[in-house]
Amino acid sequence: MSTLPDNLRTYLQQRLEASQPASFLVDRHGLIESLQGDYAVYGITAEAIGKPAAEVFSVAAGEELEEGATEVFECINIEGVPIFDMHIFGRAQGFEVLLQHTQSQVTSIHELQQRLNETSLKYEHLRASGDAASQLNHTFHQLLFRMDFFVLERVAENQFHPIGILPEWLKSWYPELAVFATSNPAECIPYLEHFLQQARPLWSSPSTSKALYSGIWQEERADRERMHFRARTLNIDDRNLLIIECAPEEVREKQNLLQAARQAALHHSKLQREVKKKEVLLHCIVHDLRSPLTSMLGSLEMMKEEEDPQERDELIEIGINQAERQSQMIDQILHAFAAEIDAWDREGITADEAPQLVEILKSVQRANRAACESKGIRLLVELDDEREAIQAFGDAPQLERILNNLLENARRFTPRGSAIRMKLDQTCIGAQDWARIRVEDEGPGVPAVYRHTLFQQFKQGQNAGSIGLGLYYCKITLNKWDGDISYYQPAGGGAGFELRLRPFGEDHVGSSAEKPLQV
Amino acid sequence: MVGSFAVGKSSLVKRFVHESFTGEYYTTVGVKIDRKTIQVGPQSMDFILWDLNGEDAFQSVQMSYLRGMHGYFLVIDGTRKATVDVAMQLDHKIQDAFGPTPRICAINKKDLLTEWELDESTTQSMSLPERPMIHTSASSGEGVEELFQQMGTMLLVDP
Repeated sequence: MSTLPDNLRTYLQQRLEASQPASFLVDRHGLIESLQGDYAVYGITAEAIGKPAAEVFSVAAGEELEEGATEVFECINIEGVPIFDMHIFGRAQGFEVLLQHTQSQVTSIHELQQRLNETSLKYEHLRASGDAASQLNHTFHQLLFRMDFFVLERVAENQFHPIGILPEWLKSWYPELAVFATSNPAECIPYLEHFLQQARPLWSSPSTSKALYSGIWQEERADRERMHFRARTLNIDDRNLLIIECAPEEVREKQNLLQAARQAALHHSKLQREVKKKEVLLHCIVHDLRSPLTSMLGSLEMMKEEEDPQERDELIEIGINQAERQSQMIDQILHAFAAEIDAWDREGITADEAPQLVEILKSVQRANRAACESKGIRLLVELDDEREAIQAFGDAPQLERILNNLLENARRFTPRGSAIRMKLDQTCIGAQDWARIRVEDEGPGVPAVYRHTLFQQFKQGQNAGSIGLGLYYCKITLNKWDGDISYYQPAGGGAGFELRLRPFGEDHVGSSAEKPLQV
Repeated sequence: MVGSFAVGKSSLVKRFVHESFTGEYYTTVGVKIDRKTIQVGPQSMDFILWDLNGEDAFQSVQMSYLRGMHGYFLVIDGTRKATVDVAMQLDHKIQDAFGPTPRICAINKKDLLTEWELDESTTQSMSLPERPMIHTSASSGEGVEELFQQMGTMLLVDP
């Protein structure tokens, strides 16, 4: 005597506990194709359910039970105690057995098993007692099960009925389809709507043996689990079949290869950008180192003509300061330049570190005064009279570097006898307060044709004899601080560059004053 | 959604449909379909979004996936200039195969503006009256709603 198959045991146990009916489908050969939901069972003999085999098989063959017709048998009465009522429903490909749980004293599968054993009821695999056709059918179902396919037969336009054993993945990905019922799978798999339209010509010529393959589609669940699927249609014995595969092996391999190849391509592209950035830095370094040198040369040039010892001492002092500045810059470059570009923590900045903009402008003015005066240019600083101290998010040495770059450009274009102005105020744009530095010269200004590329690397406003990296460097550095730089044309002509910086601390709030005071 | 690989097609859909962004790169194989209903003016519109695999040397977009579409988005990564050429080639291919069809250029990754390789003249040259251009960021969500709203408007005019 065989015992209950494990899956049937589990299934019946759950149904008993939940006082729910149990059902499974029996095909035309008397094979049980599938239980409703997740469980599959192979073969339960008529004897086992307490009816003469001939009676059940005659129904199973579809000869006595029309589709849609219902027969009700009382069965699985154990020692006079009804456990389940059996209902049989006629179905297109066989019949469906519904075991309706009845009020009984049997509350566990162990008890049921025991009683079944006691009454010598036999559960056997039908294939052992079935004919060759049923064995073949069983093998076919096993094959589908092992291949993990979800197979549906087209029974009408947009109507499909699942056949065989439902695969495990179905409930997880398409629970609506994991019910043994006729449905339109395209309603829960949108891609199939598209594919089934393509399959129409194939459906209409059932003699076609050629399979039609769909493309691959991907699903993603709320838990971010992803899965790939693919479908195909096939005609066998005038039956239109739709076969759905979950995570085909070659798709998994393709996904892995593509992921690796594309990530490598992205890394390569990123590395190229990094190399380019390093080149930019290198050029910026050269550009920066040239600036103090220009000041030193200016001081030396003026010393040649200066007779007043006090003035000469001041010029020597400027020269020494600039040499020291250059030395410091080299140290900074050697130790930290690359790191500065990549890492800057706005949140971590303290009041001691946030640059004092008034001090910065005065420092830059001192550093560039000699170079300007040697060209007959006045370098002026105009401050917002309401604000003695304005601090901003940023880094003082780099901000000085930016201003030195701008002044160097301005010097190049400003004619002798004119002025370069550095203005500091605060302004409000939209809801955002900004500390604003403007650098204006009285040169010809930047021609309109160059303005839109002015801040791009290796681009320059005009033929200036510069490598076109200074302004790009200014922009990426200010952007890094959540600030920005833009070009404008001052009212009186010339070129103007506006630097916007996020104010640091509480002093920045609410000022939109634009009243500069010349010093 | 069509375009080169890793331009942010899936991320734009995720931002639009699920209002989320992960930043993780997971290459799409085949197609992923999502739905969302939006209000375009007084009209309610059901979007069925087909997020197609990216185009590159390893994988090309199957034109059969585009059969039956009403419009498409050409997605470009602002930080990778090469993705412009891919998008423009796909655009020509699609217009040749399906005739005039509403489409919008989405220049994505606006949040990484400092890393952009596209300059203003390049982006301007892509914008045509029949092919508007919108800057988007799937990361911040900027421009995403506008992108789909504009497509909705275009589809109402040219369904």
